[in-house]
Amino acid sequence: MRRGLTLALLLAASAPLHADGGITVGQIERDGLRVTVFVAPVPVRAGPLDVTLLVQEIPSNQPVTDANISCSVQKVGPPSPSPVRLPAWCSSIAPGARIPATPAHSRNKLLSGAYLPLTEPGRWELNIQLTRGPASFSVSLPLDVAAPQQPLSTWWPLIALVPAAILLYAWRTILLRARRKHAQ
Amino acid sequence: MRDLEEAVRRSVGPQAAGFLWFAVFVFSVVVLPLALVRACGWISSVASGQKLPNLASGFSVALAPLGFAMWVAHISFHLFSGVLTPWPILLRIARDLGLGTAAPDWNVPAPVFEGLPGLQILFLNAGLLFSLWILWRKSLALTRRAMPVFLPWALLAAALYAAGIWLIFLPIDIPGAINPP
Repeated sequence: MRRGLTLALLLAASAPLHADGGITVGQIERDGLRVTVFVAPVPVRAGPLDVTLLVQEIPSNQPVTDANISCSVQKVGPPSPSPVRLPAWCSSIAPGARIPATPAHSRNKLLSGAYLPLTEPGRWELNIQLTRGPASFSVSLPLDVAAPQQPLSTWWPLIALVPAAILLYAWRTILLRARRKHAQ
Repeated sequence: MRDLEEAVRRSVGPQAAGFLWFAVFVFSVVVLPLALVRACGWISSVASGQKLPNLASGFSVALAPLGFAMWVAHISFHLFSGVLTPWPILLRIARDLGLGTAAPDWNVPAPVFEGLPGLQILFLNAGLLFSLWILWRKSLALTRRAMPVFLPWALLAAALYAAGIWLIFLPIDIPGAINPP
């Protein structure tokens, strides 16, 4: 009983754990620092891009939280005929604008992050600029951006398979009953 | 959901918000399923006009195929999005052990194809239909008036299926990340 109560109190005091998403798109080692770059959603789609960075010292792997980091995205492929409408909170950020990546973006204060606008599908470049003391560098990572996820309305024929299968089963049952009656 | 979480945290404070979400978690994972299963068992008994023994435990097992289908639908996303990620990890381990010098390229493609939500829906369809079939057979085995016994359980399965479809189209956050702007 006491163990159960302790476990319950521990669980209640814990911060909520989010689902497991995002993907690593790059790990850069430069000027004594290792920067690991995560992005979400997976696959990367046109719309708001969530960029999260973990900066560590080499070789101690100690997390670095005092670096100045900024990010931007730039379209490198041909313009797409199908631009997307961004949510209001993201639409004011122009593509190419340099956005500071801050720990405030993340619950995990070892990470820094920012939202960036991907206004259309195609080939993009994610630019990251980092400054910490004498160390200052920028890196670019390629991003293949897919079209936004198709809405639920696209998939209704697959969902309609369920009632169709139920109706077929019911029809089969009625036919079998009728045949049995007829045989009697 | 993130907005709601943040609003709760702001209004009651982080500690109270933790307890509140714990209560919501216990309610939705323990209390609600138990209550729904008991309610379905009771409605089945009343609707059929018969005293049916031990309906809840026997019928709730029939929902297992749907639960399994939900797991398969979820894991298929991770299977396709992460199938190539072991490669840079192996390169990094090899480099750390001095077995190679190749720098791992972490920008591995995530072969999540456009039709993946369709495949996930098909998994859920199969799970739901299998669960419905078992529920129907169980209802027929109990009574000739099977429909009133079957219907509450079928509705519960359909609600779980609808929740599964909804979940497929929800975005997934990076662990530990993201506060809404």
